[in-house]
Amino acid sequence: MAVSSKNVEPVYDSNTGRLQLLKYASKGDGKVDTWSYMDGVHIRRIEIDHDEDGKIDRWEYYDNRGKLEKIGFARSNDGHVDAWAYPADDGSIARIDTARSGGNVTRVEWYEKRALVRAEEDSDGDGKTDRWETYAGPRLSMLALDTKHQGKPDRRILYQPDGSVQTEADLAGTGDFAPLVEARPAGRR
Amino acid sequence: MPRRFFSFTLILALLASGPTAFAAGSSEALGQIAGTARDSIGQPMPNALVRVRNIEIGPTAGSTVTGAAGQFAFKGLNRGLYVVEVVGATGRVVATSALISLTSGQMAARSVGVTAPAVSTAQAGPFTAAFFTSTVGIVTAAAVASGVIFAVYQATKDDTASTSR
Repeated sequence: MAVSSKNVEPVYDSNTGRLQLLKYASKGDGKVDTWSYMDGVHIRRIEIDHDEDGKIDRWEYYDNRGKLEKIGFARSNDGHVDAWAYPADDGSIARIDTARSGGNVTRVEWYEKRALVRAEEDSDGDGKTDRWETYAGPRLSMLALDTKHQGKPDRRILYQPDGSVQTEADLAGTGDFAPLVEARPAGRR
Repeated sequence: MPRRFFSFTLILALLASGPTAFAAGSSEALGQIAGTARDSIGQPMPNALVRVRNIEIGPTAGSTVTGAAGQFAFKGLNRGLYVVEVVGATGRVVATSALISLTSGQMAARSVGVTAPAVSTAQAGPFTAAFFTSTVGIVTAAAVASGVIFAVYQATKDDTASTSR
């Protein structure tokens, strides 16, 4: 049985009596827009519908010590969480994980001082990273690819500041990359 | 004389047909890659320079400019591994596609998406200065102020109080 006031409604586990959920109408209008999922004394997760459109647009996740661990959001604003942001010590974004619709995390982006510095991606969904991106400021400086499904790059493209491009390959799989010999391509526009 | 005339006419006909004709005469048809270029918020990128690079041998295999809806297409490609690159106004690559493989059994990739990543957190999402502000305090205070669950406040402070009704 739930005991409710106008804007806060607790829900208890009917078997154990432990607090399971706090429903909260943060705007004081009696319309619940915040759901706090509890594990007894601990808040595990808070889900918020800021604009009260019936879709959750913010998920807060807490660790066992009650510390905010990450925040989830829906990049397509459809009420389904598909990205998670992790904080740096200074309160800025340290990392963003992204998942394809309903699936596992497929892309991880690292930020420093609000700028993207590198990213890794499982672009074919086989559970292994096959794409590595490195950035210098706003500029993509290197793209490395795993073309052999071995979980490590064997091709990489270096994008220089002057716009020139160098493609390299690790043909022996030793981690040593060498420039590819340029040849006249047969393809056309 | 008739044989020489016939050979000359055949050569002229083949030359007039262009490279495709030569390709059709080979044992394998040429491939194509087509798709759409989008910026970091998913909007199409019109009039953007797009290149396709054969990463098995290194150089670009072609370049084009996207249409009004960000669409692009490359034809006449040999078998191989390719990456599509979108070049920004500064001349630097702003987006790259996933690896595209053209093989004997699959020489067409028609729905290639090339999306620019968010190179700053300002582009990456709804990250205001208060983005990482926890809601726990607000919820707890509301629960206490409403008088519904006083024990919750005590328990979150010292982690020892019961939360049962």
